[in-house]
Amino acid sequence: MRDGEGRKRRFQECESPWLRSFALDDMKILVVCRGPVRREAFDVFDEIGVRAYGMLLSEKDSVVYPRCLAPELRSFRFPANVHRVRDYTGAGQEEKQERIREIVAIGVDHGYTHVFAGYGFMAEDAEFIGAIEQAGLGFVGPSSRVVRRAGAKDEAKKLARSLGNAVIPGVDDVSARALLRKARGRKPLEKLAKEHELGFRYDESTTAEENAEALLQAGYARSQELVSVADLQAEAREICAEIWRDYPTHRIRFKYIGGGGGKGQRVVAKPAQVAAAVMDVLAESKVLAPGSNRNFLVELNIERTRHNEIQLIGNGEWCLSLGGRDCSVQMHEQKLLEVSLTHELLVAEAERASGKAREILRGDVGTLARMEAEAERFGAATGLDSVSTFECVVEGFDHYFMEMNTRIQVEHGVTELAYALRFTNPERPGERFEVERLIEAMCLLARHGARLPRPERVPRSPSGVEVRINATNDALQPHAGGLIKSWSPPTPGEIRFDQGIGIKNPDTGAFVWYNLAGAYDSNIALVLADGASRLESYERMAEILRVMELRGDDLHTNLDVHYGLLQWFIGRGVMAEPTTRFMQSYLAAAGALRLLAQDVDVEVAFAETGRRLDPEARKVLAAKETLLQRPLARLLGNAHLLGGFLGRYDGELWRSEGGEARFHANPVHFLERLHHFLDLEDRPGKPPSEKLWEHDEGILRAALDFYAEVEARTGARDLEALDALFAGAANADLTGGDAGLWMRCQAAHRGHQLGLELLLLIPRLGLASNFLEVVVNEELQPVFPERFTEPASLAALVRALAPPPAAAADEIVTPMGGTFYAREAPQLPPLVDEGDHFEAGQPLFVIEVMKMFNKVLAPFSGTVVENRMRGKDGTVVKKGQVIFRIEPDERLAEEKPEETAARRRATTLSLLG
Amino acid sequence: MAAPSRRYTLDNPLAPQPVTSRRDPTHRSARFYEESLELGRELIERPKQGGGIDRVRVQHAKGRMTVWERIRVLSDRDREPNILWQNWGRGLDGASIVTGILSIGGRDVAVYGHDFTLRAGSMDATNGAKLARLIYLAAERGIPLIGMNDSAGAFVPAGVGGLDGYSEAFAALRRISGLVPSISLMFGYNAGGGAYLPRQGSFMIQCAGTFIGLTGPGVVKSALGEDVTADDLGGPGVHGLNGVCDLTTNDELGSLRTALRLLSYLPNNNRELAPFRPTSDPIDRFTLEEDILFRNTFDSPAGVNAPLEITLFLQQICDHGEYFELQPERARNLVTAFGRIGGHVVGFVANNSAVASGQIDVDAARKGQRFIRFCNLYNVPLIFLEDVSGFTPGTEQETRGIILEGRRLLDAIIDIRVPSMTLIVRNAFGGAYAAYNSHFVGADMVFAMPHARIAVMDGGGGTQFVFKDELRTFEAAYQKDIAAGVPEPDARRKRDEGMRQLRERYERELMNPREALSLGSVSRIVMPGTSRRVLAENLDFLMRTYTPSPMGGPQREFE
Repeated sequence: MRDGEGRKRRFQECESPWLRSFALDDMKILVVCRGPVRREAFDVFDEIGVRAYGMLLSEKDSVVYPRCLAPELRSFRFPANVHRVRDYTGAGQEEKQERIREIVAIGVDHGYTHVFAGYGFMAEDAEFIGAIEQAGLGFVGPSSRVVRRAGAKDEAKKLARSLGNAVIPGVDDVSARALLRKARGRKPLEKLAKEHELGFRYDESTTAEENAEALLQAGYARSQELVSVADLQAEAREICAEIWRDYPTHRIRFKYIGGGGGKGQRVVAKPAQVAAAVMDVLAESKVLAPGSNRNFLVELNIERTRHNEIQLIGNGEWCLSLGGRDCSVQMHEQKLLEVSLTHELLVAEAERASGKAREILRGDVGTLARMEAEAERFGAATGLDSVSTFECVVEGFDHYFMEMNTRIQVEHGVTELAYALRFTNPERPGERFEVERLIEAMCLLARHGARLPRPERVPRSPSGVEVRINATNDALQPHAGGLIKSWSPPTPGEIRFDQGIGIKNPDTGAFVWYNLAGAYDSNIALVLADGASRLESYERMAEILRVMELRGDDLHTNLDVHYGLLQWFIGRGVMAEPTTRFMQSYLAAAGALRLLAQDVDVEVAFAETGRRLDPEARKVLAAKETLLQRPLARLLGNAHLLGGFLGRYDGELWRSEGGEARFHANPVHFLERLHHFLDLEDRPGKPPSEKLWEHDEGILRAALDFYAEVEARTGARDLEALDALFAGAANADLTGGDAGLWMRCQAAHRGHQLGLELLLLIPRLGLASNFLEVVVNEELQPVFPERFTEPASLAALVRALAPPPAAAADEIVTPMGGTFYAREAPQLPPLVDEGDHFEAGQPLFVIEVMKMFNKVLAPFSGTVVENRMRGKDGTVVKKGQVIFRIEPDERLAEEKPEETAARRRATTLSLLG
Repeated sequence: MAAPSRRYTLDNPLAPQPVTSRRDPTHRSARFYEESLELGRELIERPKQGGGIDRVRVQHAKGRMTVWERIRVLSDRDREPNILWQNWGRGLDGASIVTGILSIGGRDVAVYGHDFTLRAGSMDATNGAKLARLIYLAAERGIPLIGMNDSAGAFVPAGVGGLDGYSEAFAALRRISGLVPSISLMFGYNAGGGAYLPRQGSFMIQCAGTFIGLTGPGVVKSALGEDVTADDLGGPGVHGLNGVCDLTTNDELGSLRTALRLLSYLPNNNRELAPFRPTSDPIDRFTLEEDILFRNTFDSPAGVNAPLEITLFLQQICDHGEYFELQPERARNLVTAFGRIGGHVVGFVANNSAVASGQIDVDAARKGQRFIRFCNLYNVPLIFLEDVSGFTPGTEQETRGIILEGRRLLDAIIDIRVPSMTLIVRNAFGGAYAAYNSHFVGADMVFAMPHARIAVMDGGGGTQFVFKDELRTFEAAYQKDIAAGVPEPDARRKRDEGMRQLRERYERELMNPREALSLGSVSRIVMPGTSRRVLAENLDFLMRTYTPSPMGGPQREFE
């Protein structure tokens, strides 16, 4: 909190009785989630000075994986307040209830006043929150009443409709409809209720659907199954058929009512997929157990969807919108890049823009205003008494309400960068304070709720941006594991929530190696930056990622994806309005780049360039071996970096006309930008292997100084002007009539330009792969060539980014001798059998050696063709004995090294021109 | 460089000319002084040129740093490396090896590094002598040694001189073995003497894209007709698995940083303790995780015989959960690691039942004995985490000489003179129990968890032996049933059920810590959750009453 003078203060330490009345020092808060928000919450609690706090420690945070201890423990202020639980949530209704009882008991027994659940699975669970409230504990977050009203997606939609908010075509009462199909009307329903011993009475004053809903609720309360999974599948098929009658080309989305973060959702394109998708949605939401509430939404999938959301805050009496966030850049239903969307930003950016873009941005100002107004109405109607997010899909200037997330979101930091909250004493208008952190605001609301006057929002930075650093491969598929061995500390202006991974060992000051296997989902950290404009915030973020060093073993993150993507936006237009499908097409484009770039051999290209030169020039070129080859090889070796560079510098360093790329800028500047882009320039403390080698630095420096001086004296800057200058007669401005110096300058120009045409390989790859055709049009729409958007070609290209491990083998042998078991325990089914498909890393069978049961894991993915050990459980096998004959998913292409080299050589030479 | 006749240059002809001398160079004494200064500067700089810019570029083109760049990574940022004998050698060029004293984390460390850009880092008599001088200096002053090896072997034109150089260095490094610890970093291409010399040090770290071997693929091809790449012949994938290298990394920077981390666990010499770091991690915290870990293990389908990844236990007892594993790619049925408990550096020797049942085979025995001997020499206390059912039997192991290697592990344990403790985490059977730092081979303390299974034999063998008569009765009953026409499966089921019950009885009555406690073989029971406290308190006690000193006593047969 900042007081009226802008000083950072704690309420309890203020002189003003009004400020002091909002003291938070009697709070003792139990944190029941993990992820980056846990550590962030501790920081906020320290800042605001709560009395104490505690945390749950799950097994995955402590005993399931090595080198995975919750990093927060290294500097945890209240070691006595670490409470061990098996997990933070439970699989299935029964386990969940057990967990709730456990958490409530911990809260009560240890004298906590409040519980904080961050954005964990339980944060939106009305049952969980209700239990906390009943136990007399406070919940830092929306109360169970609000969650019940707004948290369930079906209820929320009904409410939104009643408030006149736009919603997507679809059905939100699949369960009720399925029930009515079996039993419509008073008698059948009451009969069913009787059979299941449920207290239910048909209410003629309302609709059949409402009655069905009431009976379902009674069933859930007593864990009685009224509608089977098969019923739901049948009903979903009917509903889909109806929707497809009106929208034959659209896809349809299924979404579990309590889902979040992409869990419990499926999209189907044809009737045959419906049944399986329903099963998946229910299984993923852990509601297959009889009597669970299995209701899900069926709705039209908006194809050109942008995903915008409005941050809301309220105390039950007032409700305030805090601007929006655009979260459209996402993949596999996981958000990647989140940017602030505020009135102030859109107005300013519209001002900066011209033509159609300006019109669109002005239209967006209106859309945002409508969303904010609807959000406030909706929040007020639910009696919102903490923070929530009002989520919308946007298509053009239209928006549809999707759902309200009744919790703090992962991307809340973006809003904190955009707005602060100013609370003013209604009695004494001069007396006020400002709150910048939403978690602090949540604590204030939890502790003093009704007493807080309606705040006003105060703009902070015009633009905020967040990237999620995830453990994924280059195709953005989750990648388990990897050991982080070092991570550079945050740079000035960088906000990083890293779950505490960066907390050094307090005894030794060393970075503690961290195994990512233990993470609940693939999110490792959140990184935020702000700026005076969208462009500046992107540039700052790109700079943060450019210099970030994250090293380790078998470590795969999306860091390069983010860096490339930000650079791409900076080059192509930061106000672009990508849809939620943008990312997969962008990945396909990167895949096309990779397919081509992996066939370019930089050494061959360099040698060929030298071969074409006269002997003297060849000798001089040799001095540039590492200066040219190293950055080129590095850029070409990473499609995401290459794509980012192409997007960032197309039209600036080179121009393409008629399918051919030509230098625009001085190639020396091109080379300098390339080194900069790859973070190869010098910085204090940087290991020599991570920057330009000294001799290369010398050559590049001399070239840059030379051309700077040439420009200062003659004004010649781009390549055309320079070539004209040095091809002509001695220039008196440059050398003042010194003929020798003129000749030396000509020699320097020739020397410095030598071999730089190699750099054109970069735009040529961009052209040949069609990557450079990916642009942002004047209507701010990203535009892709068809093969990056067509599902058939797209999938293969995305796959090229992360080809699955290939195998030459067609059998699985046992790596050790011992007693064979097909199953983990006698009563369990075999781990795999004939016809089964297995993934890499999946357990295949068990070998007992000296009473120890060793699970043997699949080294790659494939399908079992023949099980040689069928019915032979308990028999002794020898090391190397064949267990299964299999068909690997990906067969190793048998290409001789000479063939590979010849192919690469041919590609390289053809691109060299 | 800027001769006007040249058609191409890479300099900046427009650069302002540097100002050279401040004094009047015509004055005679001034000129003498200026020239001397120039000479001094030139001499200091000369070794840094190495083999010249072209050779340096070749080195860089392979993605390798020069020796000077590697030194910069190792050195504390604000401290200049103290390079010694940099002009030793006929060309006043340091003879392709750089030697000096670096400040690393505030500690003095002797460092050498081959300059591959000069004669491919090969050795002649001069740099053999130079290397030996540094090595002896390290031992004399009691500071650790780090070697950065990047050498093609002996300098052939130097003839026998090159071999002599190696001999001198070999001898020096062997003679300081046991006096000061050393870390050998393997960069580039190391063959012959270039491979043997560094392996005389305490630890070896190899990064990707390097080679270590007697001789390279070329010779192997011509001599044996074997077609093999350098990486398959002597890359980190080979030496990380055969024990030649203790640690492997992705790149040179990774190796240098790994060396710094390893160094933080090593003492300066054999007269001192390893660096003590007071800990902010309470030693008396109750570690409920231990209890959860055992419950989860025993609750799994495999029950009491379920494999347990021992590092999951290890991280519960170390300060802030940190441990540093050596030879982590290899023989993980025995985990060897450094860590700290209550601030003291400890060497952990832990059976790991998650790999090959945790049995001790030839590789595990080799890995263990080497680590134990190191800790023993350098006053590093040892903690054994025991969960072992025995040595690995069978043709393969006997052929490879398990008797010899297992015994060498036993010898290393008997020779322990530093404080040592054993915590029996689960299984401790037969010969393995006896050999594995039991009280009678010299452990200062032996602790057992209440679920420890200490017995002469495991369940199968033990039942056969103890319940010989009962088993015979079951067999007889089975035969009788068969004769009486009882269907075979029924008869068998009856017999097997009886045997299972006997086995359960054996496990219940005889596989527990009772007998060992009653005989004084186990010092005390340790309840899950208190391992850290018990180990920390006893370690602290043992270290309080231990004075670090060089190892004495007679040299034993074998090693």
